[in-house]
Amino acid sequence: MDALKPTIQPPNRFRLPLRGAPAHIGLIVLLFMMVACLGSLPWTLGTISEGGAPVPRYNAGDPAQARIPPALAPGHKEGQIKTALGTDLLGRSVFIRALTGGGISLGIGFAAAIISVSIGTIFGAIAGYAGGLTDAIMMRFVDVLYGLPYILLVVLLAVASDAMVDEYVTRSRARADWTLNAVPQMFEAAPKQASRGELEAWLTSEPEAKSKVETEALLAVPPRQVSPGARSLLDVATLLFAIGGVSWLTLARVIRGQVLSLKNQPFVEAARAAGAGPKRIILRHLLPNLVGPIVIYVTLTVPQAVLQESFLSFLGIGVKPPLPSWGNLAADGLNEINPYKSNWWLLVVPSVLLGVTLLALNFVGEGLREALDPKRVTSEGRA
Amino acid sequence: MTQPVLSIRDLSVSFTSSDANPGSRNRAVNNLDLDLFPGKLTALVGESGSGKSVSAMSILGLVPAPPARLDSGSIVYRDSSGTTTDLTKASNRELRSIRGSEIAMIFQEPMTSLNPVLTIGSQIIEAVRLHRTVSKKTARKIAIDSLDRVGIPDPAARLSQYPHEFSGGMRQRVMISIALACEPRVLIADEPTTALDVTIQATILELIRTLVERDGLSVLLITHDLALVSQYADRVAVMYRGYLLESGIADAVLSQPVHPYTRGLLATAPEIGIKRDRLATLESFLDDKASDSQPSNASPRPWTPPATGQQESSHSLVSIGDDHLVRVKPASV
Repeated sequence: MDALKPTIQPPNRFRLPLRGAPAHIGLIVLLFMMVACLGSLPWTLGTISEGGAPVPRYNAGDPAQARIPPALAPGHKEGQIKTALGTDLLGRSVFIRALTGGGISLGIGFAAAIISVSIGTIFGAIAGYAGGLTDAIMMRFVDVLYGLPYILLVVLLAVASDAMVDEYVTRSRARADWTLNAVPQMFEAAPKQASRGELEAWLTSEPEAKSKVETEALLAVPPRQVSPGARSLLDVATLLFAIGGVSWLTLARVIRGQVLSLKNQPFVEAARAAGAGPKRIILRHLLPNLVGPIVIYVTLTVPQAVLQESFLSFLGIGVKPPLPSWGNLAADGLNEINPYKSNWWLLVVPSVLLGVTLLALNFVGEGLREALDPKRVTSEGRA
Repeated sequence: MTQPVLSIRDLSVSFTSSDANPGSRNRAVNNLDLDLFPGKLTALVGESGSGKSVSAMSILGLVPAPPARLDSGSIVYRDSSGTTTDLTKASNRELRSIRGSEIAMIFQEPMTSLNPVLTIGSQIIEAVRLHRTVSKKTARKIAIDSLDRVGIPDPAARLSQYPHEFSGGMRQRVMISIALACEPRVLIADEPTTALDVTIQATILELIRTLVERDGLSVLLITHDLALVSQYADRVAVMYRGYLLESGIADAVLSQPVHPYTRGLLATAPEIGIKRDRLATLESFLDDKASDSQPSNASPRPWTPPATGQQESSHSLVSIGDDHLVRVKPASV
């Protein structure tokens, strides 16, 4: 009897939602880049001892070996892997620095994309589901942010958060406040009940008192001990929050539109009739329906964020040297291009790596959209 | 007679008109009185736009407000311990705990009432765990049992499938099994078989009928199919233009209708084997003359809602014998 029972085959659940050869090639290139750059980070960030002092590997170099051209180029001296892509003007290996820079660029790109997608999805889903006045207010806020120049916002956020990190580390403002409060108690001659300006003027006129109170202040409010590594980590974190914090607007609009149409679907009403609350409906019933647009948006936001980071680093606001990123490597390389003797590899290596990665990301994004967006008609007919 | 599990009294719901005049309201349900009894299937019939669905949605507080507004009335639910809750005054939290666990609802469109991206199993298990603190394993067992109960073969394997792998009739059965997973005492079925073909319709209704008789479930079946009513319903209520015009035991109402609208509704049903040039329509039954000239010893003179814009004369719902209510004009006029 059992043999006659129809058996139900488990459905073939997983198929890579990717369409077209460029997308597949892009995915391979992207995976290779990620494994190479992110995978080598522990090695490139690891310290080696150089002349007795520990130096991170990406920053180690012998000035005597400066400006070696890459292998196969005329003038290349050694067949060592370290100098395979040449060295920069401090004798540091371009290969290692490009790997580190790639890791940092890609890391910032993906982290910023995740931040941007989280904000965008939550904001859009709440606006769309709440509707009415809440929706109107939330979306007008998005409109206002849209109206502001995008890059200006990133620069502002980056500069502002950088200043905050700086104050956190050096505590110079806190120390100045402490000083001005302490002055009237420490010196009889100091003006009483005086304003800040008056106190500062009195301090400048009394150099002896000034040096004394400053020593005291340094003891009372010392700068925080932050290792260089932690400091660069803080810098990178503020940067990715700045980029992620401004690039969620488009996704918020897309998600809101999707939620608006989804929330009137009978299955949402059925969920409400089963006693589900708004939080559960958004998380359990709407979000799984939004995976398509979210995934597509992530693949388009990552290259945007990588480019953004490179652009900021190129301008000198982003990742601070000696920590490399593809952007500031290219910026450094640009200075080496001159009519007398151009060290072209310093510009070409980071630029080509950046270009190839961005292209690969865009191809993957396009392939995903082709596969996931049912409204898109392709050469093979409707998807 | 047993106590009703749900009693609606004097329920009125209106909607904001979409036109420029914000003061005017479209009244969707007017002074509805309706009782649902355990172990009885009550059919709510009426044409499109007569307020059936709005009445049903109001029970669970699912009518979107605004634009809807509850103007008056109470919906009292009596749970198994005898405590009563007025659902019109219940908080969102209270309503959520009643939805699905005490009063469940199934909808018209089985094709779209299931979330397309979640498996059947996760949707049933979610419904169970929403109202009961049980382990995932127990919830899965309950889900299998409830699928089995609605006659889905190989329920354990079916749990991991998605809605698109089910046919329309099976999806409606899944909807019913979700609705019944928490063993509710009241089931509201809003035209559960409209989208399905006749044979599936019969299976679904037989299934609901079994649950009523075996488990003492109380069902409110919303439909405009009078054949279904005569075959499956214990009690029937007829609505027109937001008014309850006649209600009572199904057999009595259908065999001896008092209100001209009910009679008209019954007369419009085409009979197989009788060839007519034109099918009967309702208009001829609805004007005042028809109800005035009817020969029911002049005592209860049935009242019919006037056309839009006309003055509404006074009316009341009176009992004309064994549990049979009809809306009439005042006797003195």
